[in-house]
Amino acid sequence: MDNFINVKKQKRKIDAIGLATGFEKFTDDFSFPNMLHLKFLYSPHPFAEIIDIDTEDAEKMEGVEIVLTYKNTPDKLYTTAGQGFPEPSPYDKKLFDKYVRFVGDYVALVGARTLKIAEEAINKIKVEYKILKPVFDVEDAIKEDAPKIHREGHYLINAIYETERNISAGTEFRYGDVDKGFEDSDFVIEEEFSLPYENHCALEPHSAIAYLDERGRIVIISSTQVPFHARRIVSFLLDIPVNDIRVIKPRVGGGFGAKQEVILEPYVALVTYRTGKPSRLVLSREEVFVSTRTRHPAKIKMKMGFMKDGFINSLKMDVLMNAGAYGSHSLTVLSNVGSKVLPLFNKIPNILFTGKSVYTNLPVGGAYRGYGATQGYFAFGQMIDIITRKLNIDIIEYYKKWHIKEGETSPVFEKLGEGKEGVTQYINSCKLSECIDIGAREIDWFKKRGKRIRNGDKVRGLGMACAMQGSGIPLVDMASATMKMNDDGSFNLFVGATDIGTGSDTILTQIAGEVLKIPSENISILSSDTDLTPFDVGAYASSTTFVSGNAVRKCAENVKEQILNVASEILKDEKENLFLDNGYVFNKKGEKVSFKDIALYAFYKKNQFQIFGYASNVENVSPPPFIAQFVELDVDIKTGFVDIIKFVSVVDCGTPINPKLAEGQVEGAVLNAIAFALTEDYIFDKNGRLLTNNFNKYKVFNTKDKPDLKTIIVESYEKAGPFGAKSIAEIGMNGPAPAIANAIYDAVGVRIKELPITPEKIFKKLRYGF
Amino acid sequence: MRYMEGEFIINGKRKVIQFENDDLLLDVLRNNGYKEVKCGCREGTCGSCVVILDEKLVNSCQVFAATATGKKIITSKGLGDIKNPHKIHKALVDAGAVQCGFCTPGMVLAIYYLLKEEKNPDEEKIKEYLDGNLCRCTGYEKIIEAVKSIIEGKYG
Amino acid sequence: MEWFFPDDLSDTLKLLKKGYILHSGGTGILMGDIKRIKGLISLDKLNLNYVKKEKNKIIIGATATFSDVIKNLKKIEPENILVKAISKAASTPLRNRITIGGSIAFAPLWSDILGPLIALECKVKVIGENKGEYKISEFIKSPEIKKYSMIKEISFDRGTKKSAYFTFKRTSFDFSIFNISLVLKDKSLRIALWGTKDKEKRLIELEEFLKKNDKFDEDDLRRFFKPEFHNNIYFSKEYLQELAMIQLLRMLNEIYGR
Repeated sequence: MDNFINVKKQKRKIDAIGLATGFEKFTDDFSFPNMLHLKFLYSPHPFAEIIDIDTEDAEKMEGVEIVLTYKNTPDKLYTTAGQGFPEPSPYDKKLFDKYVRFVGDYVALVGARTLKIAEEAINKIKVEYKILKPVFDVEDAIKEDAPKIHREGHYLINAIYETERNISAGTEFRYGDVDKGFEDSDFVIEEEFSLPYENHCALEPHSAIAYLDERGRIVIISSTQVPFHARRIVSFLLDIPVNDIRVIKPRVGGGFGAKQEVILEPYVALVTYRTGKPSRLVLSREEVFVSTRTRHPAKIKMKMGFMKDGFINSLKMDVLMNAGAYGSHSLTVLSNVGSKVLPLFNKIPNILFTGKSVYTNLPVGGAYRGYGATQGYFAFGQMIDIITRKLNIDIIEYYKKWHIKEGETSPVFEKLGEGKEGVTQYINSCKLSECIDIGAREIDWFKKRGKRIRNGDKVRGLGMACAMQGSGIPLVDMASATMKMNDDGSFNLFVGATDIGTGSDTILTQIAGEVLKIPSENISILSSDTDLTPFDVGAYASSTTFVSGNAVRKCAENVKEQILNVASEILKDEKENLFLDNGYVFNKKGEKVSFKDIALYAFYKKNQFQIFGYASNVENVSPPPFIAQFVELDVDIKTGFVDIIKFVSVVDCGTPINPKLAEGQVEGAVLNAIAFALTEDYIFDKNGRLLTNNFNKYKVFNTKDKPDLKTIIVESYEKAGPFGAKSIAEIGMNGPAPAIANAIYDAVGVRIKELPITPEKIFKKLRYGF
Repeated sequence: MRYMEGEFIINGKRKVIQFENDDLLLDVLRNNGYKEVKCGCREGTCGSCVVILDEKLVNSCQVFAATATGKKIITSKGLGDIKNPHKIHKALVDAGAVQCGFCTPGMVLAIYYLLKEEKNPDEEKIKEYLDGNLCRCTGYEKIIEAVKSIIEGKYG
Repeated sequence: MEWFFPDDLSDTLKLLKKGYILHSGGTGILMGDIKRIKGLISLDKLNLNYVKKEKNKIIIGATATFSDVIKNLKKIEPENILVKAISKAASTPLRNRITIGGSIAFAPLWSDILGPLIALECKVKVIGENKGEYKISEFIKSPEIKKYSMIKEISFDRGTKKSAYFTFKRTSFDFSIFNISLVLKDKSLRIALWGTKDKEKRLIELEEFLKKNDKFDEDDLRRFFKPEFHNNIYFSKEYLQELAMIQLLRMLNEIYGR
């Protein structure tokens, strides 16, 4: 029985009322006098060399202040990937290159007094292209005779990188002897799965503003998940000291990985630096679809050898990922396809995981919630369904038997890291079996599964899939926090941790408040300002609650010590006899002193000092959350239409610091993933131009599309986490697609291994068998 | 470019604004301080920009400002503020239905429109009135719960 | 771009003769290149947003929005196919702007209401240079009618006994890839298919067959139902054809109570 006063309480998100009323500010809600509006000129060709650019007519236009091209910008290679330094992504991109590598690549940038003038000026730029033969298919791109998309480029770390074969990343993990393992198996199955591009569709488009402050420093306000990485990369590109740059993250209208990238910041910074004027770059929805980032498409081959009793003897997984025109995140997403999937069934004695990310002349892949795990689980989740059906074993019992348990480890943990070796770890907390049981009950699994209950032309089917993710990147992600006490006993908490709508600002005050035994409302938080807050890698890898949360916890402990020291002086009692309760320090005799009096004493009375805490945090573990997801759906056997009736997610996230916010993470991820499974798709014309480039053509779900969703949190207690918490941000994305594919098979005996699962694909298989 | 001048009645206040003939109501509002009206797509497909125009919920990116002069416009700030929130604001906050918040000011107005037009809406009606407001964060789950809590009388 | 706000129809027609474009909801105009527009004529002041019943007809003014139509038609004739069709079209805020007149004048391939209006044998009242009352199919086939002219209102007979509407979309808020409308009035059944290449949207041959034959099966329908779909980036023509056939059969069974 816990005595929490903040943790696990339904605390209101601190910015919720400001967001609902419209008073909180997003990047484009700031405006400055004499601000220049920026607009990119994009390449109409999938692959071309720029022979010359003539910007004279554009520059002459009234109101145009600057035009940037390869001719007048730094020639440096960099990566836009918002990752720690040295980034595990290739440096293959320039601000403006002499080559354009996909329809939508950058050619020039205009800064003008109004957006309308900038748009007109764009049309006046004359470009002479030498058109090169493009390649769009990953299998074609790695052939010897394929066009070479990159001539330059390199990693800062040791990594597989072969521009001769358009290979932007490679990975391999070997354990045991897979071929012998297959020989020794009773059964061997081999399947191939594929997933398309996906867009995050964050409601707020990518936006950035820059201005010079009174001291001539560049201040960037950006809709970013990675303010500190943005600062470092801007400094590198512009050759301006980090200390002359300040990056501020205001409210962010959704990220999901789209903004774990330093895309716009260098351009606004450069324009402001050169013109002295504030600059603004806000992308249109089409520009977001085409020219920002996406989920990497992937083709996954899985081969599994197993015994009659279900024991999986051998597993071979090969991933062919489409990096698009540039390689940001192409190594790390690739690695995660294996590193987040393979440990789930940790008793497989023979594993070979190989993968390649390949350059093509198409839009660029990047970070997207799930980050490779989503792709991997689409394959893995169906393979488990296939195996259990083949053996006539109940899939529920199978998962419960074979999933990784508390106290166990997997050889994958230490081998597959994020672009480097991983970290050995043992599972401390895992309630997956309980999650599975609860979910099965909730969806009425045993009554409906396999029964193919008919309702006219509709057949009911049930499917399920389990998944794990991670909580931060061990030994890589670092977070820090500082905290100061105010005269009235309240506190200011400063964190680099980046709230992109997740509510991390709120839960971090809950954690700090829990340590100090005061209501979290007595703590004001300021986050993600590179001048005022200490470092944090940013919002990705499901790291904020676990890594940043522990930093905050340690910081608050640090403050607690100082409070007790002062209280000990005031109460004239030993520290060991003191304890905190509800804004007071008590001693065993019942005497007390308030936080306010402690603060006044420390500020003004005696031995004056500022009560000020500080902590940094790096973890050597990444305790995975676990999820069991179930779907009940109808398939119309004549038309192939799929109706999702009910979707159940049961998740072990450790302690949910804020239950409603935790549930909300799963609910959002699930609806996103269901749409990904059924309707989202990037379709190109034969010249590599994206046709599905707005919400009219690329379909996400609205309220009417929402099925019945049920989300249940099962608490485990992760001792490494702040008050037992792990993470929950990404994991909801992993189960829906395989669960849906499995449910369709349950209903009509047809297995779709390629997303999106459209009615036509089901119809064709039902009618023609292919 | 040709300029026009018109009077708009925004959140009860009369404002005379100069704008270009082909300006959208969305831009006129945002350029004149109403930053709570967001721009997510500029095509009428996401709902971030909705306002109540003469009692009707509309996408302000699909309305020429020139056709909105002399008309009453309501935005989320017009219904309440941080000190005195509207019950719709309160319900969304209490339900945990606000994540990134970018869709929320628009969602507030869609809910306002629903509650004005329908006496006792069921879940299907709620979904219908909110069908033009996209949200990628919440899965709509807690938004719908919030609306139900208002209908059930939790906020008077 | 200039704006005009005429007070009456005759002023409106004078402005039309100058080559300016009509603006009712405006959503269609915003899909195109507005930079090329010389002038827009707002129909706001003309009070053409009525939905009324007059003897045995229903009359809808050109600037009645989709929402206006649903709200009022539900009271007059809840079984009407327009109620079903419009409730599947677009989204709430868009239904508050899209007008009947605008939709018919624009007649896009992805509209949800043109098929139903054809099945209702709707008549389009035009004023201006090409003044007259046109059958809707004729109006759609002849864009020259729109020159220096405008739709004032549409009308169709009351007395729908039963109706059925199917629209194929990927999600709820999507363009209609194709749609099928069935309207049963007295003894006659009208069937309209919208979204294909076919010039004739009414399935007249099939209607005739069904008048004479109580029973029908898939093979019968196949004889008369040979729609030609456009190339679609999401679905193959073959699938669309099969899907349309399956849905048509289902809707007929529903109408005939089987």
